[in-house]
Amino acid sequence: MNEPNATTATTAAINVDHLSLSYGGVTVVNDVSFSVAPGSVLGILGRNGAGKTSLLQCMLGLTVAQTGTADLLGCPSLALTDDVKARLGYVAQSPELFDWLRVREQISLIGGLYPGWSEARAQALCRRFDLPDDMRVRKLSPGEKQRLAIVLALAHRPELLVFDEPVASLDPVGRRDFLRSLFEQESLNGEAVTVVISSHLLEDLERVATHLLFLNHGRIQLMGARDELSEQVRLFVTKHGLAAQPGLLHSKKLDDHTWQHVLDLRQFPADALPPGTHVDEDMHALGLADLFVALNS
Amino acid sequence: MFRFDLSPSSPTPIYRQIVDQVARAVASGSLQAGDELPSVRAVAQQHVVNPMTVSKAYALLEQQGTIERRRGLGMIVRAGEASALDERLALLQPALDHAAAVSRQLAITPKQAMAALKLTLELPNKVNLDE
Repeated sequence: MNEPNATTATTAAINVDHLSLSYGGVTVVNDVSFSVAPGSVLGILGRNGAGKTSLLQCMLGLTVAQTGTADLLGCPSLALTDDVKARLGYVAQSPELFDWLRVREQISLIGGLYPGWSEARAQALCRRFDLPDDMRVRKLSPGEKQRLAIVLALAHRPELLVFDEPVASLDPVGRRDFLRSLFEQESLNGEAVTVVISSHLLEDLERVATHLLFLNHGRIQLMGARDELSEQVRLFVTKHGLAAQPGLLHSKKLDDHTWQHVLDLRQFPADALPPGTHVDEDMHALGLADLFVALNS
Repeated sequence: MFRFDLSPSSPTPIYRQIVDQVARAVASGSLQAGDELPSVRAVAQQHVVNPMTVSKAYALLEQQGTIERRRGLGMIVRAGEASALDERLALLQPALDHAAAVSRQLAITPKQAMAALKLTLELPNKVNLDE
């Protein structure tokens, strides 16, 4: 165990190892492994029911997976220490708030639980997100409740932030404010802030994500650095189908009987391309929305 | 101050858009030696993009010798011809993209298009012949 380098090396902010989860015979998370370097912003994409929320909950230790493990900031997520918990921020799809409290009471209640809580920061976030601090939580609109949950997740300056559909009820201004707030803060201990966001709002992910993970029926369909995916994943149309290959992510027969394929050129063997293919000419780069549709249609 | 026109939804990665826009502006003269680029933080805030993406683009431009970091001033456009070819090629690229698109629409093969381009390049006064 005497490996001085191993202890000084940067540990992954998140390490997920062969996680699987099924409910009543239906596998919702299927052998998922990935790791996230500190300072990354990982966007998780997938259709409704693809398993995004289940994956996040297993990753956070809120749901116990049948197989596999997840580590957050180097600590197993099923045995998080108080120290690690204090360095996490999580916004659930439907945040649990105390309806009977006023906004400022809810904030100071949660704030009392965190050693690194900054009341000044909480106040500044409330102003930025236009939260009426005297109003009862139950009277807030869905968008305001979501903004309150975001304030609660940010104000203790966590090192790892996890958002499950954080901005679904926010208007475009609120969404921009939210995205900006991700990069303004430093974590309490000065470590790079790592963020995981599951969202259908692809334009938001396009702006902030450094890495993307496409989930399909509980499996990772495609994952990588955003710039690398832009440069290495291509749409390709052929007259005939292509044989299954590593890197052939998705194929679909179009109405005109041609085939549309999504290729990951990092893996797809060049000699499996039909003769006469010109990579630059015949393959098309995809924006995130087009890629999402092409992978899921 | 130089303004970027970033389109996050484009298939071109954001860092690439930043690099290309600076290169084009330098080649066209709208950015000149000594001009300052907006700070990483300012670009990230204004366009709501990840500051790391802007840093990556600036680092690439610095590597290519297009810009340099100057203390107290941020990123400054460099004088010199070190990347002049890069800049001119970047300026040519939109015209090439257009030619490629039209070639595809007309079902002209890459080989035929290359031959036509070569011919055009070798006959610089072709236009004048028609006059």
